[in-house]
Amino acid sequence: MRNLTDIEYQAIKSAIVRKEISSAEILMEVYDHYVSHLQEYGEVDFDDQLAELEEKFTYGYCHALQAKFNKEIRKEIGVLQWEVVKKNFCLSRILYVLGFMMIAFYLGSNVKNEKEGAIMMVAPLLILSVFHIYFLVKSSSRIKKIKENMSQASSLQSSLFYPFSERMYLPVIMAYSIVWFADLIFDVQVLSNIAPQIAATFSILLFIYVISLMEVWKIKSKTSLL
Amino acid sequence: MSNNNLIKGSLQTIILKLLEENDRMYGYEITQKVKELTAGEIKITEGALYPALHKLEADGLLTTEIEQVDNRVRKYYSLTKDGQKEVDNKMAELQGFVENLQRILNPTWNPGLT
Repeated sequence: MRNLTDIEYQAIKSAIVRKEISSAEILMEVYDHYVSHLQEYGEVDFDDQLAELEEKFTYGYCHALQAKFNKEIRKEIGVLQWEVVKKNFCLSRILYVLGFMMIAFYLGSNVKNEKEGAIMMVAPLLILSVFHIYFLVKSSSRIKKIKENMSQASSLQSSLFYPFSERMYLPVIMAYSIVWFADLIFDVQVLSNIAPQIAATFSILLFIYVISLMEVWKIKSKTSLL
Repeated sequence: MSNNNLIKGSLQTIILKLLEENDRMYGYEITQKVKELTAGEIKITEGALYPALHKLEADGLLTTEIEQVDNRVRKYYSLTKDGQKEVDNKMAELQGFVENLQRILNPTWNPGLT
């Protein structure tokens, strides 16, 4: 194994940047493969070996690999979040969940008008907003170094970034719809009677969703570029 | 003769077995290890390796670690608890298949006598 020269590193980076990979995980894996392989050969063989790698890691192959990886990641996050949600109903945690539900329903029983109901429903979103800011700062700082190293355009992002962002926006859209329809709920007599309980239920569901998403991020951030 | 078609079905087993014995490995290292163990007879193509690694990771059989090596990020793969359990299943499945294949190719072969 030998150390590559700066010119050789530049040649590798140029070859990889030309593939227009947008997933940081795939880009770094391909880059590491190139460097590890080329370090095994002498300077004389560098061009031939680089050309050989280019035949294996074609533009089409890299994009197919990236698409498959993004799909797998999306599936993995969904499965992981569901597992985390299920853990809340395990014996060790059920007391906390029940305690939280009791508090939510107690607060719900004191809801007097639609505004209070709406505030209660969207309260978990405050945690989500703070988490979102932290998530953006943290993920951009991790990607920044790679972008600088590869002189890559701004399209580079962790494959986990968009699945996570979508999952963060989902409850926001849901809560927005709920607030939008709050007047309607309180206007209908039958629904108006159970509106505090509806608010408490939504608040609990949103809270569990937000906490589980944060736990998934905590797990994945240890092993990915997020 | 190209072994690619024969290896395809057992690639996941090969990866899991190697990771059981080597604790953690990165993509290129896996290709080199297979090459070394088989004296170059079996070459795992990158085209099949990385999708297989990503699939095993998504299935929860592998976990990854990101580590800074020189001036780049390296992704190490290692077995999860589920992955460790799966190695035995996959190995038994593959060994069973090889034995059955032997019976077809060589009807006089008896595994008890070897």
